[in-house]
Amino acid sequence: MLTADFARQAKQLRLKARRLVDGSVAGAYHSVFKGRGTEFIDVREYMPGDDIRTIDWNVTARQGVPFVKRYIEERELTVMLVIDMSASTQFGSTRKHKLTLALELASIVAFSALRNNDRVGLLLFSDRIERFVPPGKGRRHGLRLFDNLQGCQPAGQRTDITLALNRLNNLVRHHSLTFLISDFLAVDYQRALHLTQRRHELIPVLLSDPAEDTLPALGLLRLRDPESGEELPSTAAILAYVHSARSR
Amino acid sequence: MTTLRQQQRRIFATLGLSPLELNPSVSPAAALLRFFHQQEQRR
Repeated sequence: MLTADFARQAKQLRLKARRLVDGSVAGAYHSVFKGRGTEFIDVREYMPGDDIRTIDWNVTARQGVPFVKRYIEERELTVMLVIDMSASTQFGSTRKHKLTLALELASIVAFSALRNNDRVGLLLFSDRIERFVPPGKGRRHGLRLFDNLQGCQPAGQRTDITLALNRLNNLVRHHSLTFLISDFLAVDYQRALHLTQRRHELIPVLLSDPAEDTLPALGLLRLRDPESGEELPSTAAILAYVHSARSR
Repeated sequence: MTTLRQQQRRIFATLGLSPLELNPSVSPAAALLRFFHQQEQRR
């Protein structure tokens, strides 16, 4: 279950994301993803103020007056936020859990995309699909996204990235920019990543915590896998850790 | 013995994916900005 502290942090997301997007992030987002998916529609007569680089010289020569090309611009970009809410993402050795970081990043991306007039959708998953919000745009849709980001109490514990990506590919048929936010503490997801990558522009966001790589010097520890509930005896846990650290 | 982290790195490398790495030492906004700048340079 999510803690009350986590819920408070989540409620601050929207304001924080909006403030950050008012800064440089929205500009950087627009700069990277501008001009993507531009598609020629038709031509029309040149009007004062049109960019002269869009003049279609062939049509202009035939008609005797200048014509410009019209495009569907990057406004049609669809952004999907696919977020892992399994139990392992609710771990954090510092003030921020991995899931808190994930939701903060997702909020910033969502605000940037909506401001850019892009369509944004959401898929929250664990070992099941927790929530799905189809892509949309506009203020009301933005509020719906944030309600889902803030209010989701995951029912599942484990991680099934393949299930999430298969569902994404079934539900979102056209090309999208997909942020897959997870700690990727799972197995057998390579094929699903590959299939998704062929259909969408896939950006994996890898969540981690320092305590996952370096155990604190606390002596003997009792470790519990939050997803399976399995406990490791302290000595065995440390031996396993030392072994894995040496093999890196 | 292969760790999950090693498996992750190998999978991303095989698929040619460059993950945006997010941890508590850097704010999500800063990580995102850095990632966008890297993407822009690549393009």
